[in-house]
Amino acid sequence: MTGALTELVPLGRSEVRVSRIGLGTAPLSGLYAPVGEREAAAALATAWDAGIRYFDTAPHYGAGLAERRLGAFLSGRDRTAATVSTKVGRLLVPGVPAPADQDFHGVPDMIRLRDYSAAGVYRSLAESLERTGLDAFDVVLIHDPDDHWEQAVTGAYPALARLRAEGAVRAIGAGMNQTAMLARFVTETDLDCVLVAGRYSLLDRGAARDLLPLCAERGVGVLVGGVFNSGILADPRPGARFDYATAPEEIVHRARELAARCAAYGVPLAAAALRFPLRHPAVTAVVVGARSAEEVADNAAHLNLTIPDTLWHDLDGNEP
Amino acid sequence: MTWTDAHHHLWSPNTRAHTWLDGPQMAPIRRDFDLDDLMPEIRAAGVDRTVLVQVLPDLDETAEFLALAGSGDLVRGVVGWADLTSADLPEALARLRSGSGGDRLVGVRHLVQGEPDPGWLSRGDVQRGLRAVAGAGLSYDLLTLPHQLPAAIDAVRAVPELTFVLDHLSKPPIRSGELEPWAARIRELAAEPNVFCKLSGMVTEAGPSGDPRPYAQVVLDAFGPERVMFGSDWPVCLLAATYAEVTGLAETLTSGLTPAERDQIFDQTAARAYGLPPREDQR
Repeated sequence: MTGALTELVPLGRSEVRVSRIGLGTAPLSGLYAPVGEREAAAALATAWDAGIRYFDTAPHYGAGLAERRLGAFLSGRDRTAATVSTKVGRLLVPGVPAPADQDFHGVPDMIRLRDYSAAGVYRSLAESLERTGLDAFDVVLIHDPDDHWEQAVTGAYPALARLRAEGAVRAIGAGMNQTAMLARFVTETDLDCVLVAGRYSLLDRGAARDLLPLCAERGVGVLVGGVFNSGILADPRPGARFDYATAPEEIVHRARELAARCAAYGVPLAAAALRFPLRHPAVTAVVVGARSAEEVADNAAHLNLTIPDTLWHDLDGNEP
Repeated sequence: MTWTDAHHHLWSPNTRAHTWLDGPQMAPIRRDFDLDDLMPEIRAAGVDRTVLVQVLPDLDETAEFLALAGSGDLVRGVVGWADLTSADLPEALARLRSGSGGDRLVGVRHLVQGEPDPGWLSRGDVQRGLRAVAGAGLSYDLLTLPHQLPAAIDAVRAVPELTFVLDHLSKPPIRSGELEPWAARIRELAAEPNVFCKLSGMVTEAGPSGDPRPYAQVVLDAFGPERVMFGSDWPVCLLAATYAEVTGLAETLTSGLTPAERDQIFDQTAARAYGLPPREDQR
């Protein structure tokens, strides 16, 4: 199974290829708790050794720290073997971050200035290239434009489409926690891919209704993030995080019930959660965050596990 | 013996997309099921009238079910689908009723189990829709998972004028044998007078090794026989048991009850909840 999931597959109709599991870099830039330099480097090295060749980052993650750490790591590897995506929409300027942006710990104080203009895209990418030390990104995603549709579609999107036409980036897309606006992007613009976080998981299959069929129809690649819905599907303990906040009691109960169904087959819930999105024919790859070498190793081990069809059936539980 | 099967389906994957039938485990029921398939089963079991329940979130499927029901004497009620959150809900229900077999529409259902928001039934737009269902004189079937029961309880309290019918015991974890917190929530739900419960869907949730008896007992104790109705959940039940096995299980689970109580479960409760026409051959 490792062979299959680390095999490189095309991202939508673009020439970019990704491993079916990618590493998300938000956790290793101090999401919810600080992560040391060496710990982060070990996580990246473990991912590489496990055959993961797709890495997703963003200026938002650790206020630039995720990009710096990923860039430093890739400088010692064969860059041409890796696919890297970053995002645009937040410019980093020194200052005290807004409360909503204070989830990252042990990181520089930076205000995230929302900017989905063409000029904002160019500036953001120039700064991301500087932080990573890379000479180009393979994929650039418009990040969280939930309240900025107009500017994103008239500013950021045309700018990215131009960069793609010029060959400066190889694939463009949008990355969000919602499906409706991503579906709108797919319908109204010419994206290569979407990154949908949290909306196609064992706890939330919302993307299966609108976004996934649409992407399949249009040949748009789908990257699925948030496969653990912020952690609860990795460890469904009371007080676990669900969608960036403390999980409501009902969600904990549901996650524990799913865990019990997995346990009957000797499968960890985290393994089923990681593998679940890959069953859908529209899904190109999962992007899974990890904050340590140990977490990466766990995820990699879960790639090898045989998950019986009967368990998927038990987890689906969608008979009418 | 006269029996009412208060919950079965029909489908035709060759006519409409049924993506829920895609997995390998669904292969045994991934084919067309029509009334000709059901007929021998219910004759053998002594069932003589049924309630047909929607599968797809599709007004056309409901219209088709109504036309089919109206063309015969077997399907006396249809629980159809309409978009609860749509401003056009009253018009949609009126259109279904004015179509062929429209007088067989007895209720509405949505596959709440597939809603990612555990609080979906608490939403304002959803509860507005539930009020419109009540306003149309119809009932509402709840297809929830255990973690969605708190929102179901909220909806049942928020719309007391609506008759609710809980499907499949809210799919408790029969495989693992855990009763709580499901049982406590069932008792809380049953404390509201406007809710009925179907004794249905248990073989599917139980799998090969689960024991449905404690779950059935919770429901029978909480709702009482006058608010519990038998449903076969055919053809979904075929994943785990034949029609005859399902009716046999229901008889076993209710063997401690009096004949009058069993008459409630196998006939009268469904008639009352769904307003099925009175029998001409009353015993």
